[in-house]
Amino acid sequence: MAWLYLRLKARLIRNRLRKAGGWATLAFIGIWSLAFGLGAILGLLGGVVTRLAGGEGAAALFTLAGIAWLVGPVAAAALDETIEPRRLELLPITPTQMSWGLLAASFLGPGALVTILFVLGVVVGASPDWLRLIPALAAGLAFVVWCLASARLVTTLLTDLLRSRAGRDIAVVGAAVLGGGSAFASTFLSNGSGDPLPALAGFGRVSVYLPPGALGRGLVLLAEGEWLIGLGILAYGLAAIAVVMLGWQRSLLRLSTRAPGRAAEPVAKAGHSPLVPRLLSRWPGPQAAIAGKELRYLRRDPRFRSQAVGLAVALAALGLGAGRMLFGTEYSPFLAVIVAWMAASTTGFNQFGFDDHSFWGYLVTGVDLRRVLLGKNLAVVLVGLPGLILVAAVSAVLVADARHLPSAVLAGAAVLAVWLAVGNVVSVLGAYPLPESNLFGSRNVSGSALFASLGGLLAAGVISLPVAALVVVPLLIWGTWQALVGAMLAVIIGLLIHRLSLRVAGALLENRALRLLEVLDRPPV
Amino acid sequence: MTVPAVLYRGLSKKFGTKMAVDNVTAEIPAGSFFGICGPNGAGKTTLLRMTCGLLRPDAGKVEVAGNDVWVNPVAAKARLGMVPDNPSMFTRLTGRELIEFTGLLRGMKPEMVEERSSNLLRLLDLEDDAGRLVADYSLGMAKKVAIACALLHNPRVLFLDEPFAGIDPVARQVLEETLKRFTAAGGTVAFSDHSMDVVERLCDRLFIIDEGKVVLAGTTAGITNGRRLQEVFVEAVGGSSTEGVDITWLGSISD
Repeated sequence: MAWLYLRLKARLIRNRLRKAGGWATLAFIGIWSLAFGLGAILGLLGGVVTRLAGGEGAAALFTLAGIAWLVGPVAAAALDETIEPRRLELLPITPTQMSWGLLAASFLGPGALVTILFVLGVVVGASPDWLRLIPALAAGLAFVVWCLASARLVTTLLTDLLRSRAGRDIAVVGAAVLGGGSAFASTFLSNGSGDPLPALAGFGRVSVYLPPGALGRGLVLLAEGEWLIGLGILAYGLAAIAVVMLGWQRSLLRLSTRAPGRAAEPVAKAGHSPLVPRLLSRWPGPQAAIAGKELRYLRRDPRFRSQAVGLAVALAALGLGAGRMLFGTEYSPFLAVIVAWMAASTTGFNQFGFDDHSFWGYLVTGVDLRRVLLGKNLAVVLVGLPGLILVAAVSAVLVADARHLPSAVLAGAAVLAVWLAVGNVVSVLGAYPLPESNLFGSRNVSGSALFASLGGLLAAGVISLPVAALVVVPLLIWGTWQALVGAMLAVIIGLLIHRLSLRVAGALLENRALRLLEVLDRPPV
Repeated sequence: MTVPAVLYRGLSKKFGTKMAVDNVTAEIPAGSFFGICGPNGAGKTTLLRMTCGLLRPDAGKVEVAGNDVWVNPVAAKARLGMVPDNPSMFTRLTGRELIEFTGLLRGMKPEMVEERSSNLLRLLDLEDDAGRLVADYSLGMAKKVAIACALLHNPRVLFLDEPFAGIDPVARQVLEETLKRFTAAGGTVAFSDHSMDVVERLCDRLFIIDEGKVVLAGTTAGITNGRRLQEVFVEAVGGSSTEGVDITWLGSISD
């Protein structure tokens, strides 16, 4: 049965690739290569940590990996639906057969590859000679099974929730917070006093009682020839796996004999329509309507929220250096430039990605597509401009020095204009869908979109430099008033660049509208 | 001479080696309730998408109320409304917001948009759900709101791709009555459907398309000539037979 499931999964992947064509194949190879590289690096690190910190280090690493396996698949629930248990429920298969089959199929995935390579590294790091490698490998294999089974148990238990729109909202925002939080954590760790091994060993001492931690400790003991205790811990780990498998089988049985979650999906509340979109809907012209729609989406669409939360946390982490440099100085109002960058990056270089299948709604009305772009830009300005003014003003108040407040606000506005300008062109050339059902849309990111985004980042950076120089150079060489004049000039240039981009991107959009429709309407690969 | 609601002249579209629409030349008269029938993969959706400016044909032309869709798209799109088979809409807007948004995109005045939206919501029995997100609508409600979006600017021709598929009889009744009122007032409805009973009951004219070609066209009464449309359809597109296939095992007790 396990072999049958493995073959089924391999065939499904192969057929999906056949259907998707060239870029998807390239992306597939890229993902597996990335997984291999990541696994090799983690394995190397795992081996070194285990050699240096012993059983406690391995326990800590295995616990962290176990947590990643519990959280990761939940956050990315839509990413692996190769074999859906619900599609098998009419076949005469017992939950036990199904669970072992699905477990076997789970070994065929990039996540499993990373874990196996990591575990191999820990096994090699823990084993003083080849003879001790075999019992350590058994504990390592048990750990991989634990990871796969516990992840499957959690996703099966949460299937209904994850299939509901509310559940996906929670997962996507949770994932963004988690991603941003880990960026923060890594920043703080890297700024810390240094040796992470004592902290890791301390964590290992606590986590050794949990099954993944115990398996890590057991692996090291077996490698060191402590057979009795090592085998005892391995037995504890295997018993824990048995419990998880039983729980999973029960949840599979429950899943196959109850009504689909859709029926119980909670009705979402639209909430009171905010004032600005309401005012915009009174304004004649499509661009105001589009700006209003974008602002409503900003409030209601988890993809916007996740992107905004993730960006906010990541940029805050990245901007810590700049912040430290600017905070408390007369230049702190220039933090507004970071806000401008964040606002422009929220919709970034894929402004139509959130529209995905709905893009036809613009085309069928015959609306001037330049106005669609203008409306989307207007929404960003309506959020970004007050935001950057607020940050600049608060920073000026905190340092009790408002000399650079006007220059900072104008510099922020200029950066916003330039980034939006580049974003317009790239959004037309490198659009890709970000459908709601696929939380991160990563499988839909074609190579061309990736290159377009990187190109966009580069172009925006290069074009921003001379615009920023108009403010920075006078500020450093001459003084406040000269910087203000430079900032005014920067805004004028930024607006000219934006105007030019609307003309270019608008013309491109008119020519490529049907191509965009085809790309955005493409079902997830 | 009356301008036809839709005019096709040699319209063709090829996907790879498959001719999806093959040299279609036909007319849909103004004021008619027109059925576009065909088996799965016959080219109905491709034809409708080309008619509404969502897919560029390889050859030929299509006019909507006298306006070439690909030469004068703005004028043509101002005169048509479209509801796709599985309408993907801006689902994070409420029903009312979506209808109003569509009207504003079409350049209508905000006051007119508001008044007509309220009328359509009442007509389509969506008033109570107007404040809910479209994402939370059932398929029937989603189709109704899509029809409201398509009707808001009072088009000359309304194109619907399988409008009755997957919706309950109550919603179906509301949709049918709305469409009948639209044609009674002089509008044209062109819709594709697999249910020959529905086409026979609603349409005064139709054409049957198979492998991209129009194989039968005319008035419903003329085409059926006293027979059921289902029989005429199967005859026209060539029905499959189970003769010659060994299925003697089917239904026999084997355990």
